[in-house]
Amino acid sequence: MNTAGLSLDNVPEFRIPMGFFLSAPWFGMLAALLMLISPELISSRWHPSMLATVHLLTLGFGAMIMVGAMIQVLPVLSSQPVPAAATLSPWIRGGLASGTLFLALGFLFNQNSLFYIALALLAGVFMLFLGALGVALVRVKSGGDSVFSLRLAALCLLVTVLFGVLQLSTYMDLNWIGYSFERTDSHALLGLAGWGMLLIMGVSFQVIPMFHVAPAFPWWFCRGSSALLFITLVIALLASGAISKAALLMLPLIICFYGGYALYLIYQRKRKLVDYTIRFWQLSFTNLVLLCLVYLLHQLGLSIMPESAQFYLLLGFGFGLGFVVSVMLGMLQKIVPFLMFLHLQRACIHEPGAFMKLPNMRQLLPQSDSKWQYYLHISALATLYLSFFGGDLQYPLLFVAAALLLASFAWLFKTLWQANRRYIESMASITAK
Amino acid sequence: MTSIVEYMTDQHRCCDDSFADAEAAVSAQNWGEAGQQWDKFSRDLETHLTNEEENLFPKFEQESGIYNGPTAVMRMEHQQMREMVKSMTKALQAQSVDDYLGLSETLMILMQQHNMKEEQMLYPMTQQYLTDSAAVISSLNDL
Repeated sequence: MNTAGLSLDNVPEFRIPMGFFLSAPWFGMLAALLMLISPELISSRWHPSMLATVHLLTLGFGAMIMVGAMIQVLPVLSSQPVPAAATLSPWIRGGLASGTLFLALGFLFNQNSLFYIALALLAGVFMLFLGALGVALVRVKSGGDSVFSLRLAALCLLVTVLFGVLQLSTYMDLNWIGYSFERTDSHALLGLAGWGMLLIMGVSFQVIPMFHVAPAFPWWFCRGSSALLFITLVIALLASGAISKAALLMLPLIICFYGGYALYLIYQRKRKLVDYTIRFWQLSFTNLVLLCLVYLLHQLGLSIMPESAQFYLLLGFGFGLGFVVSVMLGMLQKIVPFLMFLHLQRACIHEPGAFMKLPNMRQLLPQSDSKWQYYLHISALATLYLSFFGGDLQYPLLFVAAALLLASFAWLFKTLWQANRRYIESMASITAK
Repeated sequence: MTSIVEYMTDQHRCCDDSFADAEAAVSAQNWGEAGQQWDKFSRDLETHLTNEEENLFPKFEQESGIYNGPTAVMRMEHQQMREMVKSMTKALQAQSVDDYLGLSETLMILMQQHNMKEEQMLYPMTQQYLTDSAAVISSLNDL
């Protein structure tokens, strides 16, 4: 039996995940700025600004948070730290940030040299991260249900990155590789429904019962839903014709079932206080379930929109901002002050007097900040959805949505920055004694 | 027959109930109800921790020979919880909603994290070493 899991000694230094969390909002702001400057990007998924925006959000914001969270969460869930996390983290963070910027600039200016730099940086970063993460995930002996999903998520990330690299080869006139652009959907599907979805599932199995005193997800549900999602994804990508189509219908059914069940468990929670993390979870799962339903209806010929291309953009933004980003914003409101408290508490373990004076979680990250975050995000999301149905008003509505999104990401940075400052001050007052 | 894992897990759930009720009452500024639920929680928590520290853990340590392992970590976390309970009692007496809820948020996550470690690792280990569940459970104090 793994007794090492009972120790907190493997938890990385706080500055490591926080470095990632403080970097991410800047990319969200850049993406929002691009939308603000060129709302016409919504006309096509191939629009250069759209490609730049999507990658600023998925790599710069999404992956940045996810990598930081993974480094933090793995030792807690499995007692197995990501090896050399302290040494690798600045390189991973720097590489991911600069690689994403070069990629976005490459899309905007269609310059081969920018793509080459982006390719080298991003491929290097993901090799480094996945290598270290892979070692940790292989070493875990009794990981439980969450680690099962995280392993599948890491596999999906690996293939997403491979597809991404191949995807870039088409921009760089490397035709001899023989990669076809039609594979773009596979890259997107693996990144969103594979890596993003499975990672969130794995984390939710652990944190929803823990943070909100909700009933636990049964083990068969955790293992079953993750495995089924993974297998269906593989079939959807490898098979063709009717089998692939059937798998693409199964995917939203599985995801919808997971989202619905998670909402039910949240409803059953014992703590019914006003809590913005729980509201973010509810918002994200409601988005998820509704998106799955409209997608299924679309597949059955009952579309909510006349134009298929616009519908898929709505689906993509809905999943990315409505589900993934909502989960991340909610989790940050809880995990950041909790980690801060944990580290402060450990610092004053031999100082009972200092312990009584520690700031509590709500003093480290005030609830009023979380409240504003929630309302800014939900209004950005609502305006964004509305813009798809706005007709002639699509661009003005998208402009407003982008402005709200910019405010939301800026607010996130402000909140995290202030919380970090309070943490550093508290830590200094403990260590000074 | 109830196992040690089930018996101890039930005690956790019982503490969760009064904790959540106290928190809801403080949030609604229903101080009478909050005081009652908080007293129940503090009493139940102390009974549970004492069950572990003075009965279950020593038996486990004796049977397994593991003294500086998980039980030592759990004892340390119990102390942290007791410190937080003291601070929360003060906040309740001062009728300070913000202080109380800020602390309760923190204690709740601390407790849940602690409970998970016990329920998923320590109790099953204890069950392996202490096979006569009925005898162990009858020596523990009910909540």
